[in-house]
Amino acid sequence: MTDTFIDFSNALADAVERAGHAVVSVLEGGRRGVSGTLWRDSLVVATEHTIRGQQEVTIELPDGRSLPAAVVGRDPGTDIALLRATEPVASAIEFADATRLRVGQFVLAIGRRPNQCVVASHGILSALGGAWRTGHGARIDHSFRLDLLPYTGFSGGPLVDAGGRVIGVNTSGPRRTVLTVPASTVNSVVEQLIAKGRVARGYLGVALQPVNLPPAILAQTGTGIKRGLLVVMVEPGSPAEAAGITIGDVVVALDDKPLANPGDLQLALDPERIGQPARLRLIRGGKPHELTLIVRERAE
Amino acid sequence: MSGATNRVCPGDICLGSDWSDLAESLRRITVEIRGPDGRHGAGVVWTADGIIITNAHVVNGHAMIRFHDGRAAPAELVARSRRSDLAALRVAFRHLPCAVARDSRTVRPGEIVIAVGHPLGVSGAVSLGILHSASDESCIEADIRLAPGNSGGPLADAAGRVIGINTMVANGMGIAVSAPAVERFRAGIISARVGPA
Repeated sequence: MTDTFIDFSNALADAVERAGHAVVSVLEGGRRGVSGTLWRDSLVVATEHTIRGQQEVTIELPDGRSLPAAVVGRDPGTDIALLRATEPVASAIEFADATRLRVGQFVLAIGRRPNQCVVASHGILSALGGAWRTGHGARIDHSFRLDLLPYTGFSGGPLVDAGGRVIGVNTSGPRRTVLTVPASTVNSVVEQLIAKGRVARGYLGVALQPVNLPPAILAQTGTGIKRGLLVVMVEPGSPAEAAGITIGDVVVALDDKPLANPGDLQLALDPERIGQPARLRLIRGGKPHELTLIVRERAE
Repeated sequence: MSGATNRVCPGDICLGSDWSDLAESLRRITVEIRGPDGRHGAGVVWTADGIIITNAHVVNGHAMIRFHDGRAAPAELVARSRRSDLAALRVAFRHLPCAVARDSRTVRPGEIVIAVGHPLGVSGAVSLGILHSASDESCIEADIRLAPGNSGGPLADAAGRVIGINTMVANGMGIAVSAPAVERFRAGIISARVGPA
């Protein structure tokens, strides 16, 4: 009497099983284990916060093998870490088409426990949004709000659609929510971690304080907004010092984009901006001033 | 099976009437249990001759049973195990609609699961979720929203077969005692009855 319902149930179990072939258990040192996603052959994506401070972890594969895996690199900005298994492991991951995601769509958060067992929780995509930045300034390509219950050890496992295709990698968000880093963002982080072991972020070398601009100055900024960023510190040897920025300058625009908050400057700090010029408009001694600064990566 | 009315059809998948038929069949095997000490929970009619399975933490002695159709009857406690958190009650009824158990060792994570119970006093409420983990033979974890009052009620699969008895909520997940564990408990009662005094 309930064939359609049974079919739906079986299809979901199939999706979990299929997706589970790309999900490993990461033993991060004696605790209950977290999950990892076999992103490419022998390469596992895990969450950075779960393996912080470790150079090597043990992973348990869907086929039952238990292998050591070395940490290739980590990016606290996106909470992504990349591990490489010490033996060849083929990845069976399938990706969802990110352009076809829709609000209301059924999704599953897949994980793996240390004893070979795949675990899943279900929910829906309750909102989709554009790019956003994490507290560390990392750019995330899409924002997903999920109606889905997180469970112990889900971090590092994939969010998949009802067909088991990977949408992104899950980590813990605020207030016991699941935060998903989209596959496109994970891919770009993985590329950088393979190349350098880290994600390079730009650096200016200034400390800034938002200030309201007096009307007389406002007329000269041409940005149309009433705020600017007062330079309160310039680090010696920094790109800002090299460009001639001094304490007391008020930065009002970056490449013609007005700046109202220090966070607005994150635009200049993305990995692709390193080595590139950034044009800053500022107020110095009550007069408009313009200078060019070369964004650099902070020395290790 | 009801007609094509009340169907909700997202795309070409129609789950509406299938789902409500299934929910109704599970409500028929779910009872409400109230003890003289004020304990309240659910139970599953396990056999047609009146054996009702619930949690040990739901009953402490005899109790009143209310069936889905409103009939009420006193029940005597046949057996109780605090270790497995199971209890068996008996009512003086025959030919009751009863549970079809499924060996939960065959369940797969991701399968749809349905719970019926009386969460926070709402009689015969139905919840929908998926199987979270099936790694433990005697207990099942489900990603389903349960509340006090679901205890002792059925956790069933998409075909309406009972795979466990809802027992507690841990970190938001529903934990159920598996159908094989219930069968072992029941076999223990029978062997105790026929065994040496």
